[in-house]
Amino acid sequence: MLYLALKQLFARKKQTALILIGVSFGTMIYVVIAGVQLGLREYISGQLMNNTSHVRISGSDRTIDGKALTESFFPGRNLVHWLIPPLGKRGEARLENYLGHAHRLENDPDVYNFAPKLTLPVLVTRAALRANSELIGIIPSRQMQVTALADYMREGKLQDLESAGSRLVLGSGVAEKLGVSVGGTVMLTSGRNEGRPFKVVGIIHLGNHNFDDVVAYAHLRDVQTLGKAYGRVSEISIALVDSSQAYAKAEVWSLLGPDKVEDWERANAAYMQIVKIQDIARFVITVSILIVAAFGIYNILTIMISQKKREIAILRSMGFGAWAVFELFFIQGFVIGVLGGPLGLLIGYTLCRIVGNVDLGFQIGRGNHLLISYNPDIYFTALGFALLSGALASILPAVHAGRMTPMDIIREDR
Amino acid sequence: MIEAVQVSKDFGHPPTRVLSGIDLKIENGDFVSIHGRSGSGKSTLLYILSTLDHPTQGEVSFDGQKVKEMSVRDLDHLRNTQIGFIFQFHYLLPELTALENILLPPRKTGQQEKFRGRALELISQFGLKGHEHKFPGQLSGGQQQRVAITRALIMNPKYLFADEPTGNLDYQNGLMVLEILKEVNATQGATVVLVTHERDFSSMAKREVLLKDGFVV
Repeated sequence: MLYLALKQLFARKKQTALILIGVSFGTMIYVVIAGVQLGLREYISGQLMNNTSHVRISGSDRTIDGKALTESFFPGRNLVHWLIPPLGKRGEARLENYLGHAHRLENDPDVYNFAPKLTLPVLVTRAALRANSELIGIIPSRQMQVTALADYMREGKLQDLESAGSRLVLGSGVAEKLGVSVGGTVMLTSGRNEGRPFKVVGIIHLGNHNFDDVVAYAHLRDVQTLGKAYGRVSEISIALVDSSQAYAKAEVWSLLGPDKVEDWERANAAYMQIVKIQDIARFVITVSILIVAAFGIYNILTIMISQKKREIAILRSMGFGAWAVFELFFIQGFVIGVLGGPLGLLIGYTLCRIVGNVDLGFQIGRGNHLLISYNPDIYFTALGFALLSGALASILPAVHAGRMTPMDIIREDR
Repeated sequence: MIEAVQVSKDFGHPPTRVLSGIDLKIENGDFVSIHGRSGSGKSTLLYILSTLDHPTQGEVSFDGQKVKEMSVRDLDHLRNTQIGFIFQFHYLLPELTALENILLPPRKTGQQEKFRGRALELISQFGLKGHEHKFPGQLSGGQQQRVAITRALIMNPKYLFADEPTGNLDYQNGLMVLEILKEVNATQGATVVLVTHERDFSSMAKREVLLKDGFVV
């Protein structure tokens, strides 16, 4: 019946074009909205993932009170009474048992890789210029396995830190503040020792002022030496083989010790809520548009069937069965989905390219253009929506047409 | 042979009887006209005989096979291969050319190319040469009906049912249609059952059946 269905469909060019535009419009809107939303989300997620990876284990931020001091200084003596109970916090949150964590993670088949980190507040100076900075000690080869940090290098390579020896990658904002470029030298002071010179081997630009204006990376060993914190690690970033397992793994690991274990979604709960709201909004907008388009298909097919009763009667009398008549009208609605979907994808893709090239006048990520996602999933979903709306909208009219008997129509006609 | 045994038909609620206990035998190769006044039940009888409608009581059989015992698929096959229909309205599909309309029955089984030669022969025979690629809207009423007849004959059917085929035509075109039916009956041996209220045309059949108030008189 494909032949006849196409003949009937293209005989009414105006009607067909109108419904086609409706379906294409719905598909296009989905592609553009999803492209812009997911593009921005991929960027923000990337930024967040640089800090948190799938799971993060960090030292818990514990307070020190009278009970803790009594246990430390007067073990086994319950008669200590504090006139003014002490209350304070540890100077820094540190992992209690890094080696234990490392051993467990190395043997866990769900763990793709992990990277230890030590963060140290430092003062970076160059001649009379100074900048407060957050110095992060990493092992570059491991860090690159868990985050996409290396992708954000503006100059130099993250691997240049691998050999240690007082090398430094500066955030673009910090480098700008100090007027230093790759090859230059800066002094780093942690407050616990004399200043120590570091050679700038790279500039990193994450596209976020909160990071770029304060961050600096060095090899973990150099940071431990600078902070006189030998063997200390403040955080472990973990990449899992299956990122959806992050919550479950974090739950289990949090039971194994006093350290704080956070999965990516929990660490960014507010962001995840926004993501969910965005998903719902996008879904509602697209479904609304496609429902309107589907009603267009439904209405036009219903009108067409009432106009085509004589043809249905003659087809049935020539031996075409109920299924053939169903096919005749179902194909027409479905073909509109088949044509309207790809057309909408094409227009949506073109629009994304145009929108993605508009100069916003401010920097976002590594450029000044709107970040657009061209993830194939967007296009498959949009196409699926278009085909589904075409198919669903055609079923009822087609079933109705298939149930018509030649006699009902002939009697009506006489 | 088509045989109707005690065929009755009721319509509506409360039921109104349109046909009452019709017994009719139509031999293969016969040309029967059913005539009577408007409302006498002649079209209803034709549709029951041609399997498009079902009797309220009684039964119809084709070559001994009872219609009510046939499956939907068998009935569709019977209509496609052995029965041709001609209606008062031509019922041509406006999106298809005359030739495409004529080739619709064989298209059901994918044999349209096989029947193309026969279609062109019939087109020529019925004076439609040069019109085969025209759409129904570009043809006159007489030409449209001749295309509809050609479509009914394309599968070389054993039975041809015509319900007031001249109803929308002037006398000359009506006469032409009747001549075609006579010729098909004579040369191809098709059994023709014609419903008409026009006595002139009815008398052109080999046998006339007169219906009055749902009874064969």
